[in-house]
Amino acid sequence: MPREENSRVHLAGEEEKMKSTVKKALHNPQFVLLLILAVILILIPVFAPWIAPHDPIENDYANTMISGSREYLFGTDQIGRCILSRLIWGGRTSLLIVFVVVAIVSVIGIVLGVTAGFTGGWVDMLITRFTDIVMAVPSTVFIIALVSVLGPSLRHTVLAMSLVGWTENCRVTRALVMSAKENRFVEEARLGGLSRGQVIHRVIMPNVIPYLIVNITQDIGSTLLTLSGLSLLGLSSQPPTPEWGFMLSEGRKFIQSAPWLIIYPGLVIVLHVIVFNLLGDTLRDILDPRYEKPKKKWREIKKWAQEN
Amino acid sequence: MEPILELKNVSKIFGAGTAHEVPAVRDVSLQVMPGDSVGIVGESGCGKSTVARMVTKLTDITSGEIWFDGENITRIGEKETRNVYRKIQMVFQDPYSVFSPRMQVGTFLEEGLVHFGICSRPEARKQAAEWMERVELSPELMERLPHQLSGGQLQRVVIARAISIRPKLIILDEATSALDVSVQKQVLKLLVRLQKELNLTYLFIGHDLAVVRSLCERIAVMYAGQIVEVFDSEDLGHNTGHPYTQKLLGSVFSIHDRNQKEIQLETLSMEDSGYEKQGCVYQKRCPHATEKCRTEQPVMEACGTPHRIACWHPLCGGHHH
Repeated sequence: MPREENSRVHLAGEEEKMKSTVKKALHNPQFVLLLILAVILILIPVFAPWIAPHDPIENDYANTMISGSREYLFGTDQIGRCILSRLIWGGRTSLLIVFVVVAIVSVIGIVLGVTAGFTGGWVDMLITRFTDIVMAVPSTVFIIALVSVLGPSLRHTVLAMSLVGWTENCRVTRALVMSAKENRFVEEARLGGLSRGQVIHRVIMPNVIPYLIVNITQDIGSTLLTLSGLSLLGLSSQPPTPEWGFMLSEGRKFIQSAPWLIIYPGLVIVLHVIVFNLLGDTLRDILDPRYEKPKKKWREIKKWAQEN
Repeated sequence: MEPILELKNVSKIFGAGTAHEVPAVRDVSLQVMPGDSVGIVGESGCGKSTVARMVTKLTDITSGEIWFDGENITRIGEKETRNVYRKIQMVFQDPYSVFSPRMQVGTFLEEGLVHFGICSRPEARKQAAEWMERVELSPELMERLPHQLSGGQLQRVVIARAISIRPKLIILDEATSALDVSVQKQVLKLLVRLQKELNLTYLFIGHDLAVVRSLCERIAVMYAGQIVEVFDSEDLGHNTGHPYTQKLLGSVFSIHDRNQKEIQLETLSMEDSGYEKQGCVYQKRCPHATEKCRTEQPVMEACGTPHRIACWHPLCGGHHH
């Protein structure tokens, strides 16, 4: 059998599977709602120049520290910058950093995790020990130290967060691969004529990837929180570039007189964290092959509501 | 005729070279002829599954040699192993564990056909459907996921997949033990029918002597990692001589022996499990053990073909003494 034939077969099977998963996902109202929300949250900063009512770094000295007006919906800060516009533009910095960090961290973690989990032996030992060492260093302290030494800038923040952030991904991936590897169906697949490489990507990975997707989605929330913490300490973006965490940091000084300076950025961060975490949760339910459509449940709830 | 499978003094010691050596299989020799069905029977932990796993290269072999189809497959690389899998297939005990939970049952069947280059993809779909019918399943089930099928149905799929590759040898490792008694009977009938139709060779691993006997022409009894007796399944009972075979025979359940047979209870401790430094493996549990049994290890000796036995005091009016 020529190799092309194999890969074609493989693709056909894969497409089939994808179709049914997508179908299942689109029938889940909770997932659809969260997905739409997440897409909107990502698109807002992308289209910031068209959406934002004002220039985010323009000062309006006639209107400083107002709590909200027709012109400045979410109010202005101490030097008269529009909070809403800064929040919209701020997403560019915050979300970009978050996505870059999550991408780097996932790739490093998954590659190391799969290698360790599948190879075993001294390779596994080496990777695991290295992970342990990195984990033993308190990550926040490490990031603060590194950024302080290199000088605060977005690039250095990304570097520092990536250097310590991959450990969790690596450990989770390793554990998932190891437990998937122990399955009978891996042995059965070998008996079924699959080579070692095919076993990894045909049998092990399909049983690992769903959990990784969930993990990555939830990473978005936690990375955003870490980033906000760093910004609060003044260790990421530098003024006047708008960034949510940094906005919190600036607004902190006026917490008594102008609480909206921290309320709105705070709410935005919370909203993002919640949406991406819930999205991860819902994804986990959908990607579980034993998961059934929630339709029935809905019907039951409706019925119950009508009866009472 | 050349045997299709031959084990020559095969041993497996888990944790060899460490302080916790576990000799799972010791010095096992066995021949399987083409078209034969050979059973290996013994209690849990006697090493019978390890034998099966060594033949299928899922477990490394510590010493000895395994010859298959005229080739020494004791130590072979990955590529050769794949070629061997074209000729040896294995059916595991628990059908639920064999399926990747995300793979359609039909895809599972097709995979083997396609990966071993037996036929093209569209042809594989057709052949898979035929095999489904052959094991008395509706081809409609092919689009289901494993958890949507029953244990008996899944085991039929596994058997279909194993046979569809047209291997020279099929190893059935407790293939019916996880099934309900009624389903077990159906699957056994199916196996017998398929063997007749397709002239298959079976190596059946089991713990239930009655089940093994219903399927196999020849039976090897294993105890504590060693084969203690090999005989024609027709001879079971009247021409078998090892006390352990007798004991297994006595523990077969039947609906007719209610109140007639007392269930013998035995408490086994680790020291009694047969891993003796010297003498017979069965000495601690054997009612006929003598001083000789405690000091000298009985050797496998022929007493008729293919009857062979390793016992100093066989019960079948034997040859030793």
